[in-house]
Amino acid sequence: MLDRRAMLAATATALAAPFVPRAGSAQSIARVVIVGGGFGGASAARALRKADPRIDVTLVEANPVFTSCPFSNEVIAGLRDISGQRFGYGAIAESGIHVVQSIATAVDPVAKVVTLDATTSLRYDRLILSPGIDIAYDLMEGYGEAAAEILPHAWKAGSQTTLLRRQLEAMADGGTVIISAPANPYRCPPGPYERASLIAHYLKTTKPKSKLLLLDAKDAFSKQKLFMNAWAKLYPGLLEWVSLSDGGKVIGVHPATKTFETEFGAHAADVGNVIPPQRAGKIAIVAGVADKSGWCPIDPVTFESRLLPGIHVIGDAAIAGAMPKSAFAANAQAKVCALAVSRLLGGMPPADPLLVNTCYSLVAPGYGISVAGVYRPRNGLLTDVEGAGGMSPIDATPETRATEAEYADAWFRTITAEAFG
Amino acid sequence: MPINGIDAAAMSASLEAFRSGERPSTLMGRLMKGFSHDEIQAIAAWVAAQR
Repeated sequence: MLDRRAMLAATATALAAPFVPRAGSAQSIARVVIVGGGFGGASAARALRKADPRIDVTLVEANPVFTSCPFSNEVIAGLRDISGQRFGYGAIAESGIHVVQSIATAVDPVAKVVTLDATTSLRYDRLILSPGIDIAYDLMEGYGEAAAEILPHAWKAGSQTTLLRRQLEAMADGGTVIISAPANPYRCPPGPYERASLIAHYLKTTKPKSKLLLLDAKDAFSKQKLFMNAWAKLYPGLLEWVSLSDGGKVIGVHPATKTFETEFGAHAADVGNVIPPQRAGKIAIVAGVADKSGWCPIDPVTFESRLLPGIHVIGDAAIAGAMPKSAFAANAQAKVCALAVSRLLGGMPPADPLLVNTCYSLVAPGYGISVAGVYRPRNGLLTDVEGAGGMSPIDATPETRATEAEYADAWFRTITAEAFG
Repeated sequence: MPINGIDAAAMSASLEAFRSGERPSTLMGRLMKGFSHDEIQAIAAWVAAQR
């Protein structure tokens, strides 16, 4: 086997004109490519740079500006402007990370090359995929990219977010809003319920004769007691949750009539929001690191793929055991993965990690609730540390709810600063 | 409030108090219950070293 020095020399000579030119690679000990510039990928790039500045880090991201899903429910409810969701890559690029605005289209795990387009490829010693989710349009009858312009999913923030906002603004008082929530697993487990809460708040304060129907493919959901307790107090008669057992599972939609089809009948909406089934972002599927579930099995110590060595998967795309698919989790996983990658490249064994997640949700302005967990690898999976974590108390005072709403704001400022600088 | 650079002894005392419930909190108690004494010491040392 070639030693590391010889292997890197071989890598360097293999670099030819079609490859993206890079500055400062002369002193680099290794090359890491990160695909996906969301909370996971951006955090990983920065953490890796901090862990060992000698590692040459390239971040591949399709969009020039990132639009955050966390807090986008506030945009939909008219409580926040979309501009507050946007974060650029300037600070990341200034820190010496190569930011390449492009789409990764293929991965050769043997040659260790990521293909961007016909003329550009990137060699790597280790690859970190943080591709987030793709909407599984094929798993929802009648739904697709064109249908999403009528019945937005708004589960990737940006134009879908503002589209749903405009539809709610245009709706007459007395209208019906329908949200469909998917089966597990999916991005942001409490997200559909926070969204229902904040849309209900908008309707209650501006269009009080309206109704909101939340059709669910599940019988139980994240922070359920806290949400349902708050709904009974704040939105009685306005917000109705229909569980799987009560016929809530949406099996198809008809965009032309804005109708949601369940096994028990059809519901017509004035504004319809389909939160559809999801799978790992396309490059994970193309690279071959997703299993038949559509998500990516990983080693919980390093986040290296169980299917292909040298490729790590973090964030929503990964099967992270007890950890939910959240921005907080993606950021925590990014730091653990970056440290593991840096140690592996330096010939050191990775350290056993301890990870934390907190998901805040707003059920109304100034009314925050949270669920938290602490996780460590056990028998090859990330598992809950017993006795830790859990939900906000069901009987908390209004002052505590207000404090948690403030902490949610502070969390957003902190995590976006950490990921994007 | 930024916590970078806070004295390690003060920080570990706070985190232990969160863990025991002696110091009331919304979230910190729930999180600290997942950390051992040694891990809390390590966190405190790390935070103290940040600028």
